Formats: sequence, C-alpha cells, structure tokens
Amino acid sequence: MTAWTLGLRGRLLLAFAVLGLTTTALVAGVSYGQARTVILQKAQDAAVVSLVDQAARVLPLRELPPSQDQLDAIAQNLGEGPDPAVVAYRGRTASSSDLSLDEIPAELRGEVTGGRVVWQRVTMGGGPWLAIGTQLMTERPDGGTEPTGIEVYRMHALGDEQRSIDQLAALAWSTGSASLVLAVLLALLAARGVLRPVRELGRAARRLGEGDLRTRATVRGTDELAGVAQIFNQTAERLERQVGELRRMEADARRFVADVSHELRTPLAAMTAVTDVLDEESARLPGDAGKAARLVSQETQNLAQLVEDLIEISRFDAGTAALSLDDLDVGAAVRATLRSRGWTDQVETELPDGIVARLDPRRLDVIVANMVGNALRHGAAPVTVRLRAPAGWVEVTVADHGSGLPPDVLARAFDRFYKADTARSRSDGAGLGLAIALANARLHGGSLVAGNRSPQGAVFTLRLPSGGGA
Amino acid sequence: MKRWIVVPLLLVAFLGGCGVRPSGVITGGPAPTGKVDGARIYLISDGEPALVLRQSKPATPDEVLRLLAAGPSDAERSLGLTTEVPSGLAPKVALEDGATVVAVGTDVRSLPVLAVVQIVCTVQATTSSAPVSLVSGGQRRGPLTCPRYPPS
Repeated sequence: MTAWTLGLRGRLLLAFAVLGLTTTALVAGVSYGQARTVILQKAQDAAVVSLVDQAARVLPLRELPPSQDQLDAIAQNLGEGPDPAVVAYRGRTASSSDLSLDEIPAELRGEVTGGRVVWQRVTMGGGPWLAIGTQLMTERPDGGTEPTGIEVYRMHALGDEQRSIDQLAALAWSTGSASLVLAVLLALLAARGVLRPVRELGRAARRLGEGDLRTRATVRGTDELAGVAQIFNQTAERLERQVGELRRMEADARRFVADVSHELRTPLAAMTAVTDVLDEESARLPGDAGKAARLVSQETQNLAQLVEDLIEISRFDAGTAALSLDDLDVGAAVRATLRSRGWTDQVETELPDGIVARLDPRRLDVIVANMVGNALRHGAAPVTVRLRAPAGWVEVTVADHGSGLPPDVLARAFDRFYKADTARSRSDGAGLGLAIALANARLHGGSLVAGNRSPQGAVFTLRLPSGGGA
Repeated sequence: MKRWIVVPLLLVAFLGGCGVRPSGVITGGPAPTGKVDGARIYLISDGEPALVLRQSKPATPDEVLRLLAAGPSDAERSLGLTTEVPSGLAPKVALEDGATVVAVGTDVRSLPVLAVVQIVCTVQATTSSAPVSLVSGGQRRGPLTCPRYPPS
C-alpha cells in the first residue's frame, strides 16, 4: 500500500529497481551456481582420476597382509605430489606426511569398503579440502573383483577453486550493483519522459482553474497522454467560448441599462423641475388634487434617485468609476453627511476629531448615508455611529437596536434590488443603496460588512484604508 | 510490492553465502583393480573370509590348500587373521565332470561353516570358478561356491 504514496516517479523507480535486481540476481545467481559446480566438479574429477591412476600403479601386490615397509612405500608413492596420502590395512596405517587417519572423515571411511571410489568436501585447517578414499581391489580368476583390505586416502586442497569461486561471486555482486544503478538511471529517464507531459498537463489544468481560459496543453505524439491533452484543449476551448458568450451577454445587458438610464435622465430633469413647481403649489390646491400633486412629486424624486443609482452602478460595472481623493477629517465628514440629511438628532455619534484619511469625500458621503439611512429605516433606535482608527485604517460602525438581520438576509444584503421585506413600501428605495455603498468601499480598497451584534441589532462596519487605497 | 523485493534479496543472500562448502560422501566409479602375484588363500577376519597372498612359485591346488591348512603366520595372527580349517585336513583336489572335488581327511559334516567357506574360496581362487564339493569317506558337502564380493 505504501507504494501509492510514492508518486509516479517513485513507483517507476521501484519497479525498475525490482525488475533489474530480480533479473540480475537470477542470471548472476544461476550462472554463478553453474560455474561453481563446473569448477568444483572439474577439480574433483581430476583429483579422483589422479588418485585412481596412481593407486592402480601400486598393483600387483606380492604379499598380503603387506609389511609396514610396503604400506609406507605405497603411502610415499601416493603422496608424491602436494597432496598428503594415508594408507590403512586392518588397523595399521602409513602416511606420506603428518596426515593421520583420524583426519579423514569417519563417514568417508565407512563408505570406502563399498568397492568404489568415494570423496567428500571437508573443512580442514580453515580451508576447503577434498578427501578421496578407495580400497585396492584385485581381480579373481573368475573375472570378479575382491577387496585386498588396503584402503588409500588422499587430501586435495581446494584453495585455488575457492579463490576462483570467490572471484566469480565478486563479479556477480559487482554486475548486480552495476545493473541496479543502470536500472535506476533508466527508470529516471523513463520517469522523466512520462512525467514531463503529465506535469505540463497538471500545470495547464491549474492555470485553467485559476481562470486563464486561454491555457492550452502541448500535444506531443499520439500516445494516451497526447489524447488526454487533446481532450483537455477541447474542453478549455469550449469553456472559453461559453464564458466569452456569457460575458458578452452580460456586458450587453449592462450597457443597455446604462443607456436607458442616460436616456431617462433628461426627461426626468424636466419632470423634476415641473414637480418642484407642483410641490410648491400643492398647498394651495384643493383636496385630492393637492394630494395627487405631492404624490407625483415624490415618485418623480424617487425615479430620479433610481436613475442616478443605476447610472452610478453602470459606471462601476463599466470600470469607469474613479476616485478623486482628498485629505479629510473623517469625523467632520461624517457629521456633515448626517447634518445634510437632517439626521443629527436621531443618531448617537461617537466621532472623535483629528482622524484624517485620504478618501473620496463624495463616495464616503454616499456610503455613510446609505448605512445610516438603512439603520434608521429598518432598525430601531437608538442608532449609533462610531468612528475608530486602527493602524492604517478608518473604521465607521453603524449599529441599531432592532431585531437584527436573519441569516438569509445577511447573505444577500448587498445584492442589487434585494429587499429584505417584500411588503416594504416602494418609497423606501429600489434596493441599490447597499450595492453602491459596497462598490464604493471596494473602490477605496476597503470593505463593508454586515453582521449582528449581541444582545440585539444589526451592525454595518465600513473599513477604508487611511492612506488612499488602491 | 514488498513481496517482490524479498525474492531477489533472498536469492542474492542464498547465493552470496555459498563458497566451497563441505559436502556429503559422493560415490564415484569403481575402485582401482589389479592383478596379484602369489598364492591366494583365505583366512578369517572379523568372521569374514579375508584374502591373503603368500609369496610362492605358481603352486598346485594341493599345495595351496596345504598352505591354508598350515594356518596364519605370526605376522598375520598379529593383525587379527585366524583360521577355522583344522591343520590335519590333508586335502586332495580332483576334477570330476566340470566340478571340483576336494577330498579331505576330516569329517566334512563336522567342519565349521567358515572353514568350508575358506576351503571353497581358496580352491576357486586357485583353479576355476567351478563349484566345489567336499568329500571324506562316503560323505559329501556341496557343490558350493565362494560368496561374491561385493555382494550383488
């Protein structure tokens, strides 16, 4: 299971290493074993044949049981070379050197009487030796053979063979290590070849996810990865086309709203002028006529405000809204806003002097007026306006003591044309106020957040950078 | 995956541990065989007939049997070679219808088995592989054959 956490490269490396190691171990192991067998067999066969030849030359015997001199002679004869020999006859022994019969393995001595040549590899003095033993046989007149009772043994050193085999083992080890290194190198190469397109594809997908719809993956060759890249490209293309279409449609719709608003502006200006006159005259108009004149005047004002709001929103949408910054005393500016709207008496303020920030005074006025107007309209008294200046920021908080904002309203408070209370009278505004306030705050590089406070009441917090923002 | 690593590691460890290692007894071809000179008689060693060569001119079967009846020399006795053949055997070898008949002076019925084996083997080694019968007076033992070595 751990293999799946290794990543593609790790898994490829592991697979190659295991493959290389297995193959090398098998090949090297088998050839090592074969070579060892051949080397040992050759050496053993040569030693055995040599002993049999020399032993055969001891015959024919003239006397049995042999005298000690004869046994010694046989031992010397067989031990002429570098290999020591020992001869035994019914408890009597003769040796060509200091080799004694006790050093011949008892197991081998037990098998010698079987009438065949026997041998056994043993460890003697720390090195490997071959102990060969046989009994001298004689021919019977009837063609059979029978033992003379003379046993001959010879030890043959296998040191040279041991060295050859050790060299073979060393060779096998070095071959194995080299092939492991080779396998790892090959695996790295293969991993690079496979992983590069995968990495590129991953990078392209990430860019696409980040919104760069023009991202395309490079299609190389005709393999499976190229197919994936092709599908990726087709998907990205379709996505780009559809998003472009949507954007165009949205832009069209916004332009339409902007155009309509502009077209309405001029006739509305004329109407406003007329209704102003009507307003002045309404007091003198009798009964219903006066009421109607005031209604027309009020609705015309609302319509004019709506058109102004729409034009403002269109500017934000078109990206043409620009800040005209000025150093201003924020406390004084907020007070001016309250005064100009006639709210000074309805609001509790906490506006310390001397908090200076670089802001757009008109936009600050729009935001604060919206916040306070909302609180007065929807919340309950007392409404408090508080100004604070955390490092680098100015913070205006407007709180009321009403029932607060339900969660679904809280989530959509800044949406355009959103009205929390559907039964609300039309004269309360079109529902663009907070959307415009938020857009203004963002234009400054600040934020406008709606929330609830304990124990009750809604709170709107405006934070603007004091240094002028973006 | 782990299983796959174990296989080559085991293999390498197994093969790497091998040099020239002690083996069991390996049996090869037949032991060297040659002719012998001299008279072949069979004495007893550890309850089995054992070949003994006596240096002598080519001898007749009668002479060889007399050598056997004379028993082991001091040197042979010191090596544990004994005989069961009584010294008063007075053997006489004759050929009858392709079989060898040995007339002896003692009662063939009372001869120990090993003595019979010694006589039969010695006669067969000296004359031919024909079966050997022992007779004394009207009594007869055989025809017999020397047990083969190696036993087949």
